Amino acid sequence: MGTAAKLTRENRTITIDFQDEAPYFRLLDNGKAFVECELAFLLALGFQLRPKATCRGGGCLTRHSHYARVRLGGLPIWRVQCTTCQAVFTVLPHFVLRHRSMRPEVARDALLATHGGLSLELCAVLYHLSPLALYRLICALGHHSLVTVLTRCGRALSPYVLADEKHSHCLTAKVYVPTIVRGRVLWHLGYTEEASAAALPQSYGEFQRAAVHQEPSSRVKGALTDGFDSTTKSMRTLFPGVRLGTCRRHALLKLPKTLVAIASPVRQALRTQCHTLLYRARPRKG
Amino acid sequence: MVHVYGAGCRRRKRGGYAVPADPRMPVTSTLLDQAHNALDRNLFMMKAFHHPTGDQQAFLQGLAHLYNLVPYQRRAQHAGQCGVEVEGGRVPTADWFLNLQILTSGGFR
Repeated sequence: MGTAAKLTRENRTITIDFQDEAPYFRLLDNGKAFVECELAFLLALGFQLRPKATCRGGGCLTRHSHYARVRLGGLPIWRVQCTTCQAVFTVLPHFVLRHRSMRPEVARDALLATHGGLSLELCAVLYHLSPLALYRLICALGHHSLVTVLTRCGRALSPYVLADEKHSHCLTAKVYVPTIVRGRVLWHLGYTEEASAAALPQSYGEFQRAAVHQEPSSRVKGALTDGFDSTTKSMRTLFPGVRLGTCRRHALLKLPKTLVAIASPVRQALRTQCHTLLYRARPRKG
Repeated sequence: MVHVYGAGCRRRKRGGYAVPADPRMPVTSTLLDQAHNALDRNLFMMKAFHHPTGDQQAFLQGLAHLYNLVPYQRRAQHAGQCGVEVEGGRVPTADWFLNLQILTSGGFR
């Protein structure tokens, strides 16, 4: 009996915006126009297709084959092929979701409601779908790395980040969500069952590996933490030479406890001085 | 009088000085706390997150994509913009869901 692991096919699906369903159906009969439309869309986006590792480039795209999506009433889906490396890309029109029969309008509304804080069950009732289908849709999105998606948006990897972990509960177990943020953007959201010095580097390491894979020259120069030991150790281990800072808000919250042995008026005076120094060091813009 | 600090004390103090020393360092973790609070509100409602055989990592990452790409302001300075745009990134179209579809397509490099 063969023990060779089954090779998983790489996801080479590309979603193309055809504006409406009618142009898509018109283009289906015209192979040349179909490929040209697709290339125009790619040029407008400024994205490149992901060929095979052996591809030398310089090839062009050609229509390869098509199949009918039975669950969508036999909708034809075309594949295109790179003539150099023979990589085949499935062209999904914008009104079709990969591996799902859910309409994009329904998915959009349900995801927005979920993002707004509605439970999966309530979203499912509102939009007439199964809660598990919505859960699977979110998981399918989550299989794509945050770093990859953000770098496609032209966001260079930031050398200065905020790192912290949030505790939550999964059934009766306490779990941790290690997070890396820069500004309003989440760069990493992990999941661990403990906040030990071994578990956190593993989670933050995923971000580091993804960042290096995406941009080998990328380097985190500074990280702000709340001073939690495991987080600072993880940062030091994963990003050698990183400058570690302590969040001002966390530091000020911890200050009264640290100065508990000092008389109250002296403590107040010290705290005011500390505030003044910190605000002088970084005045607010505008 | 000369104060002699131990190595541990010096290490503890370094974090406080790192912020004023480098002007590009963030000062507070307010934006991180905002993200955590938003996530907490979501997870509080999610029974699926607590499913014993569920894929919690993928589910969280999916929620993170929504956090980054769904426009979050209506009237303020960044009205109609998502987090990525606010931070200077470019999104392919004006429609956040189409952006999500395009950006999570496996065929793009």
